[in-house]
Amino acid sequence: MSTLAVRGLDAGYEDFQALFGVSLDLAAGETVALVGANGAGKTTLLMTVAGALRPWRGGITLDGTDITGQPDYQRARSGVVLVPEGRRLFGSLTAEENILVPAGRREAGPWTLEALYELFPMVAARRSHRAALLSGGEQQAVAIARALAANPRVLLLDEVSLGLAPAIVDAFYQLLPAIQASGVSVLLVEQDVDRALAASSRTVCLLEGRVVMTGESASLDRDALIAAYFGSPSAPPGAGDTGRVRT
Amino acid sequence: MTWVNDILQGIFLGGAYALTAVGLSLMFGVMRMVNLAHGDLAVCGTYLATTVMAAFGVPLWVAMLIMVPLAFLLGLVLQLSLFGRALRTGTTAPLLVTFGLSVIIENLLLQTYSANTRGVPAGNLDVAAVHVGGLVLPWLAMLKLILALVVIGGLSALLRYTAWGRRVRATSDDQAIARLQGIRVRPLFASVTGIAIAAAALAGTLNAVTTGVYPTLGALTLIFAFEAVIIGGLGSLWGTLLGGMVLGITQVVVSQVSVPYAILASQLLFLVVLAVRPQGLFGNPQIVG
Amino acid sequence: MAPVSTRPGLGTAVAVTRWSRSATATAALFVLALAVLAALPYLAGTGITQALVTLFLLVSMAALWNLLAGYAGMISFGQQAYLGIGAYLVWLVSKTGVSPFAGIAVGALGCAVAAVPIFALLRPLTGGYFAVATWVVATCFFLYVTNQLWLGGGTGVSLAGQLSGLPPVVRQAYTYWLALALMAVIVAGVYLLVRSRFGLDSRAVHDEPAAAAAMGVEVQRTRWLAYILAAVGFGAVGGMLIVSTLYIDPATVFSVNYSADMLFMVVIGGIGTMEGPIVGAVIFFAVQEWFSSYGAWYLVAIGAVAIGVVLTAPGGLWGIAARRGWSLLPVGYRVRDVPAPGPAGPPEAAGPDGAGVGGDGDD
Repeated sequence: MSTLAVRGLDAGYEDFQALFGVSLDLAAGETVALVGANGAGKTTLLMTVAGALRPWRGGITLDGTDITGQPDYQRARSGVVLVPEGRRLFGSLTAEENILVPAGRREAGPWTLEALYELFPMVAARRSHRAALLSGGEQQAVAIARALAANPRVLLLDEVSLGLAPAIVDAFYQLLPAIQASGVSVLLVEQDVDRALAASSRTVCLLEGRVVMTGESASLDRDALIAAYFGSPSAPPGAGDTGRVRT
Repeated sequence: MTWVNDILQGIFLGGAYALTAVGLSLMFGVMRMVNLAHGDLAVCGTYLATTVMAAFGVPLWVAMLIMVPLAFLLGLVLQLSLFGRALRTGTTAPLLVTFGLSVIIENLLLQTYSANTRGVPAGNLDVAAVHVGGLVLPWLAMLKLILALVVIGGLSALLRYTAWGRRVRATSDDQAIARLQGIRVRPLFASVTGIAIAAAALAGTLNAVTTGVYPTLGALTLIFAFEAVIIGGLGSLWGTLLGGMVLGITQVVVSQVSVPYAILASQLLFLVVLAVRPQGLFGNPQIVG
Repeated sequence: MAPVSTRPGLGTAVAVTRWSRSATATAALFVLALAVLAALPYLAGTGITQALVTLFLLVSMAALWNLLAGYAGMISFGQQAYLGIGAYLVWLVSKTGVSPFAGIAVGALGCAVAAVPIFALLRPLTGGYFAVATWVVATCFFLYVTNQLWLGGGTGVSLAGQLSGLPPVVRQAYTYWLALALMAVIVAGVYLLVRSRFGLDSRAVHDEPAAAAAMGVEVQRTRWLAYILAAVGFGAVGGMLIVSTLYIDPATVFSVNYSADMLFMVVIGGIGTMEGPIVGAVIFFAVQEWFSSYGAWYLVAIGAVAIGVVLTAPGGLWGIAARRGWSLLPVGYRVRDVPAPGPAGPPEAAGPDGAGVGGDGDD
């Protein structure tokens, strides 16, 4: 049974539909990368899975339990936590306070404050500084730590590399195995396709709100992926959007 | 020496204004909400206290022990039923709804209690004073100042050091993300409003010991509270204390020259602050306009 | 009634109209009503005309408050300042021997002058801060006047002496006609204003100031204009207040209760629409006439209704009507599909009347 199963998700904003029948699975301890051009619906998908957006149609289950109807605050407690695009820390709180905010599951797992400070020593050094005053890399670390502090089952990472120097991004991606080892499944959105392929076991490509390609990251045909990414004639939208995935 | 005494009385008056204003300041800071019914809710608490005193024959402090928790509950109910909905409806809705609530409260009080000023019996409290040198230290005024310090200090501590306070500050920074971190915003805001109304009721009742209470007292109460908050700077509880002091001292000093213009003077001071430094003493420039 | 423009050749012809049959009917009805109302002093007693003066002033205030709050996006709880300034100016002018009726013009102009420094002060504020600041300004006027003996202090001032030359019936007729004319001018003025470029600008500013500014709308000038025109209107209404009741005192004329009344009329009637404030004023007037003898309960009820409207039906009564397509005083632009003529055109454009672009002001 998948940890996270998304089936036939339609979602959007007011009059605008952003997702069309999206389905995907996330197995325990697995990292799946979500790629696609700007506006493909990657952030919308993560927001819907996290509960910030109500889907128009379709379902989401976590370890077999249907969480589609759960409001956002409940979903975090169920174990689905989002690291939002652009970090979105609580600016007036210190780094440590940001990490302490998540309510509910803090006692339930391995990610204690100490463990997080071990994972992110740069955060430990700046723990009493106000989040708004931290550097981009430090903020990203705090944002991930904040999410992990809730000991999630599923971690949603939206554009972790946004606005950060490559060396810093490398450092983050090197931490993924440690995060996965603690039992967390990761669904990450990444603009840099190479990074996405390297960091994940499977990759899902979105185009204009539909899944157009899925496959094992290691053996994915680069050209086919690029075609799917941009929606060229050789990979028409609609191909592969039944979302069948080899588990 | 009288000018020292004047400043002192101004400080005491400022403490009273600050205690009245702290609830309004809290609601501004956390929820960005202007509660135009704030003054009327303070008056409500006062009438409730006097009714309890008259009905059960208990002294003021007992009545307040009963009334303040009830005011907290009223705040909870109002937030959950009206204010929360108004906040979610739009930016003008809270103004219209709280103004409407203000009118409702004033007229309900008018119908229930008549327009006459009602006294708040407090034994000798309203006149008892300590005289030190040339200075007059009225007990009631000192009590109000101390309470202002306790409430503001206590709230600041709660906000800084407790998990609840952390959640309040986080929600105030970014409500959507706070929800995604598992924070339940509706009960959180309800607790904030509860505290705000309880503080207002406490302040209103103590103030009424000196001046008495009448149904339309809420309007002036709101205006002074609002001014203390603005002068001190939005989002700063200690700023509200200072804002109250500025108002109080201005009023007392001017009243030495001309009593009828004392209140007008503090209004004009407020308008000057608005013109010259709208973010107040400790506020963020971007919050106003 | 005729389409303003058509654009054939693009596949679908559209017609843009600014008027409608029902609007013509309404306009005709208004003219008829005005004629009937104007004749009333010859037909009915002063009890009725006095009551109608109250109604006319309520309609005027509602229309003006809606101009500020519903169209220009500035909620003010301090318009009573201009009521008072207008009224006191009329009294002052009358003391020099000029007829109070003429003094109303002075009151209105005086308010325009006063509005400039006041708005200069309040301009940077938004939302609740603006609203309470306007209330403070009105309170300042109240506090000042109450302490000025030469302005009558807290006791107030009376016009009875200045108008003693006229027989009461004549005076009341003049008052009635003036109030009727004022209401007609204010409503017509607000209507034309909202239909004009200014109206579109101010609604754009109200909805989305940054976008409006980016499109070249002069945000500040629009706000200035709305505020000053409203001040002038309220000044005239204030002048009418003292002329009709012959007496004012600061506590009454500078009272925030006027703002409460305006808010209720406009919110319940339909904020941001032309018809709404009129409907709201009529309802408010009726409720006040029938129920004020039972004490302040009617205000409690109206307040509760207003809150209910804001939370559940923000468009007010007229908003509900407008949703069903009612429109008596259109301010927007209706785009209708027009069947394309000739062989080059595509098959008839399907569909009912297009959505009104710019709407009729129902937010």
